[in-house]
Amino acid sequence: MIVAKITQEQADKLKGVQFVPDNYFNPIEDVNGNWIISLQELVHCSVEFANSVELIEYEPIVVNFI
Amino acid sequence: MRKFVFGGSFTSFDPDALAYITAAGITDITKKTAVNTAFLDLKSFGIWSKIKGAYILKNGSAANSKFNIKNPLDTDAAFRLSFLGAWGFYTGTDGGAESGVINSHCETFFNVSSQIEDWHNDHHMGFKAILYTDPEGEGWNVGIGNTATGDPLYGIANKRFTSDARIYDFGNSSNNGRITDTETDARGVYIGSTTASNNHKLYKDGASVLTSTNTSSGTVPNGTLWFAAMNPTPAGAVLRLATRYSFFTFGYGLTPTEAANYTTIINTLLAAL
Repeated sequence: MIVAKITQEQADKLKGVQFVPDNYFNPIEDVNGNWIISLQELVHCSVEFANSVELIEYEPIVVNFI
Repeated sequence: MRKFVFGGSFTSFDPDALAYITAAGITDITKKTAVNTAFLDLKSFGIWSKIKGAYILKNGSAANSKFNIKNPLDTDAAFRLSFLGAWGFYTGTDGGAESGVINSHCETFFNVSSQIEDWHNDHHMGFKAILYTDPEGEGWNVGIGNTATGDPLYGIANKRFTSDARIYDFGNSSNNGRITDTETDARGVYIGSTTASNNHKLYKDGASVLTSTNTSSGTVPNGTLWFAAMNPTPAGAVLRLATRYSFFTFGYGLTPTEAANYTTIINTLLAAL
């Protein structure tokens, strides 16, 4: 699954911002400490922003889920 | 004097139904009538007073699906949903709100320790999952709790991706606070209900599929219920179950009859929308 890698500064700016009414950006960290957003969110960013990010394979944080 | 006789009929809407219809922007008369009928049925079957929050998720957008049928104000205090991360919204036969496994969940703003009298011994939470027999993820569809220790945990998992586990957590997951089995098809109406310290049931499509008469420990966390994921309290990894949802509910515990009637009302309503 491909996601958009963003910087922590970008994540801080996006967190809690609406990209469509009542739907908010939700940047998270992957297992490697990369901040990421989904491609569904990325399409609502500016072209300049979208061109600045790297697309990477999503690697979730592994937990021993209960 | 000539008298004019008007044909047709006038529908008198339940005031709560009318408030929801207005907030959600429902204009089709068939859909408005279906909502009205559902609201009246919820009241006549004694379910309305058991609901703290309930959401019709096939209205086509976050902005139209966020409203709590009990109080359709656009405020946190009314438990209006906030959709975080990647969601898709669909109408029609398979209409619903579809979460993604990466970063989607809903904030309900409903605090389980302060906005209901005794969550541990008297609560329900549930949803209708559609379209996908296998959700993505290894977490929960709804819940709040300590995902590191399992004490306490309150939540439902209808079918985890790897294990196929179907779970209802109602306290300490490793001390009599969990009922679980294996699920084959994750579509349907799921309601987890606790009506007493020793009365816990998971219903699917109105029928009890898991039951426990055990008493579990568990201190209700001071935090809010999340939908499409477990709210990790204290903070930790967010564990999700991603699928398409057409309804979501939480509130006081439901009896078997109430769970069955609620399921019928939900299905009848959703079929008409």
